[in-house]
Amino acid sequence: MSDQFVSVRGLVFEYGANRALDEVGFDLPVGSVTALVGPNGAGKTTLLRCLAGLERPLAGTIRIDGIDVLEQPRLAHAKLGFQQDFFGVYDDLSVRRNLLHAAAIQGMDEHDMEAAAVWAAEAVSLSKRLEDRAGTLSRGLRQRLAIARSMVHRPRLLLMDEPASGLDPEARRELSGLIRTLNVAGMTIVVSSHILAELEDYSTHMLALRLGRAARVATLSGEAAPKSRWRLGLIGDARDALAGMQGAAKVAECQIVDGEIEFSFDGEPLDRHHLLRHLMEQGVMVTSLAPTGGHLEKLYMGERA
Amino acid sequence: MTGTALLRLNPELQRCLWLELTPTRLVLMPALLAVALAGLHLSGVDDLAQWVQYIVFFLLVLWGGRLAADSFVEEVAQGTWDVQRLSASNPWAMAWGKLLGGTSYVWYGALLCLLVLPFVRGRVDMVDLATTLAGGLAAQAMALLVVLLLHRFDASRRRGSTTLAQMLGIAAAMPSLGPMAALSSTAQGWGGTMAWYGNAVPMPAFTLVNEIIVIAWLFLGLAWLIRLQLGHTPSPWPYLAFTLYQIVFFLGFLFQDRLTPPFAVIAGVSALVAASLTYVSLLASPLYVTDIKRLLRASGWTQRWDWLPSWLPVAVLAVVLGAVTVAAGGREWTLAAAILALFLRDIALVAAVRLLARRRTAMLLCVLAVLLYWLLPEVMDGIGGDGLKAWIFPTRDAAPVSLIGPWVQAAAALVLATIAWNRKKGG
Repeated sequence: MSDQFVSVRGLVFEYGANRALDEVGFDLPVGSVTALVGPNGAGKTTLLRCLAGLERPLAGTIRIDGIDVLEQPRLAHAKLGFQQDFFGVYDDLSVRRNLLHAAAIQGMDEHDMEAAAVWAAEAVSLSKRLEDRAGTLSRGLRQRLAIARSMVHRPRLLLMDEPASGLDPEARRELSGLIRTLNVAGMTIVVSSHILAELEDYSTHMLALRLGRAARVATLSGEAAPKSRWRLGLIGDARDALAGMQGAAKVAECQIVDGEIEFSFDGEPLDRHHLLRHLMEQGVMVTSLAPTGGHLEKLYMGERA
Repeated sequence: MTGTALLRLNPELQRCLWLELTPTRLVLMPALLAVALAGLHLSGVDDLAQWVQYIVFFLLVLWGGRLAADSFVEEVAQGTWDVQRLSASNPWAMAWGKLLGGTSYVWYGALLCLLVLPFVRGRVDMVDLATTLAGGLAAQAMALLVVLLLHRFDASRRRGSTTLAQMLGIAAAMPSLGPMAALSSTAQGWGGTMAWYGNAVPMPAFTLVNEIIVIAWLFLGLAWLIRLQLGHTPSPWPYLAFTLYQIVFFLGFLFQDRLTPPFAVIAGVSALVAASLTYVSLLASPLYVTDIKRLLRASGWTQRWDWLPSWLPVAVLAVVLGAVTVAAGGREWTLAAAILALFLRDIALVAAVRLLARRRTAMLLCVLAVLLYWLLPEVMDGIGGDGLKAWIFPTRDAAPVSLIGPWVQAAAALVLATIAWNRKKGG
């Protein structure tokens, strides 16, 4: 099996005369969590729908785990789950029956369906609501049920379109945890969202779409990932501190931002300790050292520029 | 069979059964039927069995058609249809699961009626009863087929198509299926038989068998449309096969006793059937720019064939059969040439309207049909008789020079369709 789990080539999609996706091509490695980002109307949802086999592109190929989605859509469906930007749950059925039905339409064995439904409900914290009618659940809980439906058959690829919309902060945090857990369990995940800070929590890759064209897939973690950015809080003249940082190990691209120092750093916690000790010895009055965050946002803005 | 076993076998059927056969509804149906039958009994109806059959007709045809259409329309409205489209299920299983599952409540009522039949006054003819049951299934299949077809025109359409689907479903079951069945029903009153390929077939049996075959075709149509929804490529094969079946079916009526009709008549009727079914498919299919582009971009004959619109091979078949008819001496070539011109004109006009008009295309096409097939020919006829009418509409024994009229119309429609295509195809 190729390391590239999702492989898209020359994807063209048109709504009438409007081209929504224009020669989009990319590869996503197995076990990755890809943040699909782009402005409104960039074609994110269309791309996800094409990957899921819900829309047929005008041209191009999509392969998921070696299966041609356009040639064998049903085979591909068994391997993927798609949580769409609307609920798509049966309001008159209980949570359990919703999940059993979702498992059944993906061809799960009848002996595994019950356990799968319980597992999916537990994963989205709906265990205590299994017998409740979906229509009686709050908006946020229905959103969770939609997520549970999309992953109940433990797909190898999970596509999520704005999964956090409608969720409260606590549920969003749980969702981040769930995505990490599913990823650790071996699921390859593509998540589309406007909230870059959230995507940053769990994404290993970023795929930026702009005007229907895909920018390159950027790696956010691992060997190929760019160094993370850190910010050093201090008292006194930042220029002195900047001079003191020159030559420090694993430090690069230092700059003064709002009286503090921002820099790239790819060290371990012990390296941070050494860095701080080095700065103290230089007489720099350090007050804090923390990652800047917004890494994904900067990378995305860089792609746009 | 346990719930999960049925769920594994046919998830759509089990889902519908969960929704349709709730404990309250299971109790309500026999209660309603009991009230209806008690009322009929007390009103002194002699042939109660016949009334039970009417109730079955009401349940399966009138209510069943509505439920069948709703089973799909509700899914689109709730946003669950896209979830179903992600299914790994077999389209055939989904088709019969949706058809029987969505209407399971009225079938439950029909079953209760059948159970009480032996115990009520009067009797019903078994073939008649079977025809009613088959008619009910046909009405439901037709209603579901219609909403699936309408969904192809506008996937965002949430409501409003159920009534039309129900009406066409009722038409499909009047009294069973289409004009042939209506004819057979009349003949049945005379106690007659139907001559088909020279064989005298008792009318009730003919109607019932015909109904069952049409149900099979409707079911094939449902599975084909669901297959499309699941992301498979289309193919003109099913509709071409349906056309060939219809040709064979209608030709059967030409063979009376031991008389074999002339070859030109066989070819002419075949051409007429194929042309009629071209119009049916043309009007029942949306026309999307992307589909045409896919056809033009397709590499290889297999792929090109798959992307051909269903009506196109049937239209070619109609033209070929028409040419054979003329060659066999069936009709004069001037009339055939004029008919061909109007055939091309109509196809081009439908394409142009579908491409250019965003809404109310059905209304626009109706207006055009009235104008081109009734108003203008009548006006021309009124002014100058058949000689002038031939310039706008095919007439027998027309002068060859009058062919200019139909062919100018065809050329104008083709130009219009080309303009529409150039405007819509984009860069």
